[in-house]
Amino acid sequence: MTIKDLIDNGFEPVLVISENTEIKTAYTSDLLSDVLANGKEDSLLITIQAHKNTVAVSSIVGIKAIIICNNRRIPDDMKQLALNEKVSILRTKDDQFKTSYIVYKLIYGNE
Amino acid sequence: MILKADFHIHSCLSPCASLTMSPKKIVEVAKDIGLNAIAITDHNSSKNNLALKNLSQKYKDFYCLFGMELTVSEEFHTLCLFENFETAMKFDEIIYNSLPYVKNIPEKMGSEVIVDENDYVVSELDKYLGIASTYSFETAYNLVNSLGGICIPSHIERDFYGVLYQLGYLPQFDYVACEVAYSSFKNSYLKNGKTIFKSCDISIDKIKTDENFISNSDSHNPEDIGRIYNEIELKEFSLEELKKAFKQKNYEIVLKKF
Repeated sequence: MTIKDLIDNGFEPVLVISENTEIKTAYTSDLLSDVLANGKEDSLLITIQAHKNTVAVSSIVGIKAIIICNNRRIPDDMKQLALNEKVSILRTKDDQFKTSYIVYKLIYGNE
Repeated sequence: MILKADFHIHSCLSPCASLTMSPKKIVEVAKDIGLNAIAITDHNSSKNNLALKNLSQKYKDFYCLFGMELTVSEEFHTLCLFENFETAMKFDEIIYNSLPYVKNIPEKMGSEVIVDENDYVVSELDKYLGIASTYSFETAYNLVNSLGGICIPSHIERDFYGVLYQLGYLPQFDYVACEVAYSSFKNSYLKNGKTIFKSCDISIDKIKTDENFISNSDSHNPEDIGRIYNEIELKEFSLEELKKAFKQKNYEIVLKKF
């Protein structure tokens, strides 16, 4: 799955580094220490934590994109850091449960 | 005596703070703008408090508390303050050892520099401090109290690392005080902890308790030191007297006019 697939499926592109970025898997969590411990490289993070620390943690882990759920407002300093760290940000009105379902299907099909 | 106190200041040890924030610079600026009580509260570390202790001893009528801004495992911040330097360092050691090991990469995460009272670099920390400790709030609260210190939850209404945002409620403890963020005050001048909710644009209606709200600068740059502070009336400087003054609401939150 690429970022383009996410955009094609209705996720709002807030800051896209490259549409062709390949996403291998995803992780859903709102606790950054948990993301740090269990997040995977080249993955996508599904969360409601819309602040720059989420980008910092993603950068450390090697997460390539973040989906912010529940249409939370995304502050400018978060976008700026994401640009510097080359982490894409997308947004959705859906919650983490529904987003995880949609993303799971996009990555793994109906298995 | 009247204390003009800013108990939440980050030094160059915090990865997110300016490198110009040496304890020497912090004390100089604080004295310059008329503060007479400060605390250096770095993220999960008190290791720049030795310089603060040495500096404060040079001045008469300049007081400090020692401690840190702890990230509890629920991922919100709380100030942990001590009167005694050695106790603060004991707590520092416990917390530092509890932090999960993530190597700090200064270019990416920011520098973590320990300096002495003359601005000489002593060392840089290897572990990243901007991470949650393994201590839950309750465990940390009890530990700090058993060591004779106080816990003041930081910027409780802020939408990152504030307790209300993370938990949705304020855990019931016998707080000496709770901190409200500077950003909630900057458009208003407030007389005391009780009236703040009318004028700030945030909703803290989830709190029904009679907490004592204070505010500090939470400065990461020299120009922010003392942008908001607490003017406290007390008999003499001690943690015991401070606790009394907060509990009896013998203080005002003052927003510095620029």
